[in-house]
This record gives sequence, C-alpha cells and structure tokens, in this order.
Amino acid sequence: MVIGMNEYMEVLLEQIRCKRAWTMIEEEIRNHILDQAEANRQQGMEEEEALAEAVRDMGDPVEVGVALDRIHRPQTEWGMMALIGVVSLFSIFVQWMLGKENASLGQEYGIRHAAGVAIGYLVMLLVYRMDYSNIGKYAKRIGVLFCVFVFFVAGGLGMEINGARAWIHLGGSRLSVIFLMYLFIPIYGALVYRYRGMGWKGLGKCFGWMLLPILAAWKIPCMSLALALFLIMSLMLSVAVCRGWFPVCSKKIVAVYWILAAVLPVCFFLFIASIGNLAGYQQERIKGFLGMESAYVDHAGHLAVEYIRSSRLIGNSGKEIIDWLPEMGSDYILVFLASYYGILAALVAGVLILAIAAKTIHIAFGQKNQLGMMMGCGCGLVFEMMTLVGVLRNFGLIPATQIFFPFLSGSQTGVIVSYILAGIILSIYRYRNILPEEKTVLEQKPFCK
Amino acid sequence: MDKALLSGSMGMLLLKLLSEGDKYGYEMIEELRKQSKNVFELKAGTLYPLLHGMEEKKMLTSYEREVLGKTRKYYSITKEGRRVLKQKTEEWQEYSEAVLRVLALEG
Repeated sequence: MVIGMNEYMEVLLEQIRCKRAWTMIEEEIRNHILDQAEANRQQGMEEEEALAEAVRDMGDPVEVGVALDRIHRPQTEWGMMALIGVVSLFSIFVQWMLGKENASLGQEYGIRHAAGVAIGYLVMLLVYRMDYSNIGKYAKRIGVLFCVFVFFVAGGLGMEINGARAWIHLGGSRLSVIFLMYLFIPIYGALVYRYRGMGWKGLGKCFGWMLLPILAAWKIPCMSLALALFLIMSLMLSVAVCRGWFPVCSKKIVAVYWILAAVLPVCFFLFIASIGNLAGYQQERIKGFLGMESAYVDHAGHLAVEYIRSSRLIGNSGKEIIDWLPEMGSDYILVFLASYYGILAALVAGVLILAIAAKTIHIAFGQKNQLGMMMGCGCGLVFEMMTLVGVLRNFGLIPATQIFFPFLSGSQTGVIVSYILAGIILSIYRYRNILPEEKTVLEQKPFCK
Repeated sequence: MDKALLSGSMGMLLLKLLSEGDKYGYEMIEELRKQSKNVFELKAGTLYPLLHGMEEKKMLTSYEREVLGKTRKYYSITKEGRRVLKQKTEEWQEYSEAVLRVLALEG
C-alpha cells in the first residue's frame, strides 16, 4: 500500500506519546523525505512517484515511531530526587533536634519546619511536572512583574526589620523577599537566552535586566543580596558569552568585564558612602569589617567562630550555645551541627548541599536545549553561592549577611525557594529529549578559544 | 546482506562517518551507500532512532544550520562518541579476525 507523506507522518507521530516532541521529530523526518524525493526526481522520476518512493524508503512508520517514542519521553532524574529526599530528611532531623535543645523554640518549631519541607517537596514535584520553557516564553513579563512587586514591598508594602523593608505576611507565615529574589535568577537565564545572537544590543539588554533586580535589592536595602545577584548573573552572562551567544564578544571582553565588575561596585559603594547615603548601621558594619574603629561589633560572628573552634570531630562540644546565637536554625546551622554533633556532622551537611549544587550544574551543562542549560546553570549557581557564603559566615570570614543554606535552613522562604529551584532543574531534565531548540542563527566563529 | 549482521555495527559505522565531519541524516545514508559500494542500504526509519539514541547517550550532539534555504539538522561526534568508536572498532577487528581465521581453516 502506498501512503503519502502526510499520512506517513501522522502514523509515525501517533506512536510518540509525548506530543511536545512532535515538532522536533516531524521537521527532521519531513526534510529527509523531501531530500530523498528531490534526489529521486534528479534521477528521472516524476514528482509524485519520487515522493512516494521517498516515503517507501523510510520504512514502517509504526516501527520508527515506536523506536522514537522510547527515546523521546519525559524523564525523571531519580538520583537528584533521592538526594533531595535524603537532604530533606536530614534537614527535618536537624531542625527537630534544634527545637528540642532550644527551649525558646520548642518542638513546635521542628513540626513547623517538617511541614514546610513537606510543602516544599510537593511544590518541587509540581514545578517538575510543569514545562519550564513557559518561563522562557514569558520571561520579560514575569521579570518585570517580579521586580515591580519587590519595589512595592521595599517601597512601603513590606514589613521593616533591622532597616530592611523585605518581609511580607502570607497566611500565618512571614516571607522574606530577600530570599524570594533568588527566584529571579532562572528568569534571568531565560532573558539572556532570548537575547542571544543579538550582538552588542543583546548584551546591553542583558546588562539592563541585570540592573533591575540589583536596584530592587538596593531599594530594600540589602547590599549582600545586590552583590550576590550581581555575581551570579555576571557568571551566567560570562557563560553565555563564552558559548558564542553574543558574536561581538571575545575572551578579552569577558576578562575586561570581570575587571570592571570588581572595580565599579567598589567605586560606586565608596561614592554612596562619601555622600552619606548609607544607613548608620551599614557604615558601622563596614568599618567594623575593615578593622576600623566602629560601634558595630559582630558578636554573632565572633561567637560562631568560638563555638566552631571548641567543637570536637565527633560528638557534643559540651558548650551551651542556643541562647547565644540568633538565627541558629538558618544562618548558623553548621555551628549548631558542629557544636552538638561534631565537625563531621557539619561537614556531612555541607557536602550534601554541595552535592545537590554540583548535580544541578552537571544536569544544566548536559542539556542540549540552551534555554534549559542557562536556567539550570542559574539554579546551580544560587545553591553554590548560598552554600559558599553560608560556610564563610559560619567561620566568621564575612560580615553578617542574609543567607540560607539550601534545603537545610529553618527559614520558611529559604526552604520554598530551594525546592522551587530544584523543581526547575528537574523539569529541565524531564524535557531534555523533548523540547526543540529555538532557532537562532549564531555565527559559527568560535569566540572564546 | 543479512540485517542481523548489520544491526549491531550500524552505530559504529555512523560514528565512523561522523568522525570525518558533521553530517545530516540524508547525507549519512548517501555516504554510507557510496563508501560500502551499495552494500549498506540503510533505511531512514532505522537511521533516526539510532541517531537520536546515540545523542541521548551523549555520543553525538546536533545543531541546526540553514543551507540553501533549507534548515538541516547536523550531527556531530562527541569525545564520548570517539571513545565508543575506538572501543567498538577494536571489538569488531578482533571479531572479524577470528571469523576469518575460522573460515580459513574451513577453506
């Protein structure tokens, strides 16, 4: 029986259960049939006969469709899910013990955290089922709405704590907009992807989008957030440039960018400080950290270092610390672990989170779809950055800052943000053999060799 | 030629073709036919699941390029693909030498 090209494609595609993969497969097979038909015509066949012969050459559409269906189906990264599950259980245990040890928190604290983790895990599964490319499709709108929301919160809608207007009440929970801001990172990845192939103009737009959340962080004000966002987005932009997304650039441009990235914020900061635009406590903190005479003393930082020093490799250090350190469940969770269970326990926690961060980066760079690569890269960088900053803070190497250990901290917002980012990376993996790459003509010249 | 003989080695042949330069599906079938002097007539329906499977296993990567107004999906061999090719080639040589030795005995 002779069947036409359209009929052939219809039968073939019917075998592939995941409809999202159809476009990508159909285009390739159709082009092949047309190439073959053209070759047949050049050998002297009539147009209709040439096409029919080309279709016949393809083989059984059911057999081909079934074979392709085995490859192009949603996939689950079970390893990552299991790893996150292990970290979640570890987190519940640690926070439960912290609540038990600290009378002012009580067991209710542990229950609340366990509920937060359970909700977070469910949210992660929901995000994982969603098609992440929709973020790419509406990146500009989501990005604008996101930043406008933060400006509104910082402008008066939010609650002010320690000079930063960054908290909102939702139901019975208090959410930190500072931590929510890290959700802008995958959106930024999608925005960079949208501007690829646009040369200097595209690069300028990417830079403009970078300024928006940084200004929002400035408005809060939260300098550590502004700096963290700047570093993460700059790294993402560097990856894009090195991959030839912006054909005007070279390796030198990336080097110049990083030199400017190191110098300009310092100059800007000094300028702001010189015109007296920094809050008093900010000025004192900076002086204190720089070793200058200051009214600010980093008690928490000093105590954290003291407790880490007095920790044993395994087992309780015997030092009562709960009532001394604020935010023990989030900012200083490693100090708690080291003091109560030994340095090894803190090390295990750090390794577990870094394993998730490394796995995230690995999944991202293994993506063929460049939108997924860039968004995933951003998620991984958030995990890496938060862990690194957290470890430095626990060892008293940097001043007090707004941090959360991904998946581990008792911060409700930190927990939710961690699971949403994990959901995005799982969604990226899920659709890795399904979503077609958006067509963008990039120059073939390698720019960063 | 017996299909069963070919099925296991087709991946190796495609990797070999791609080790000489990036190609699109139709080009691979033509090249294979020419180089094998019409012995290997690979069906396109067999080719694409094979290519997509090898891409999933990271032996190949693909990209689209516009050539003479047509968008073509090119395949390119990866480092992993070259490693597999080397391994499969060695296995194949060992196997074919053994077969030839046995056939020589019979002769």
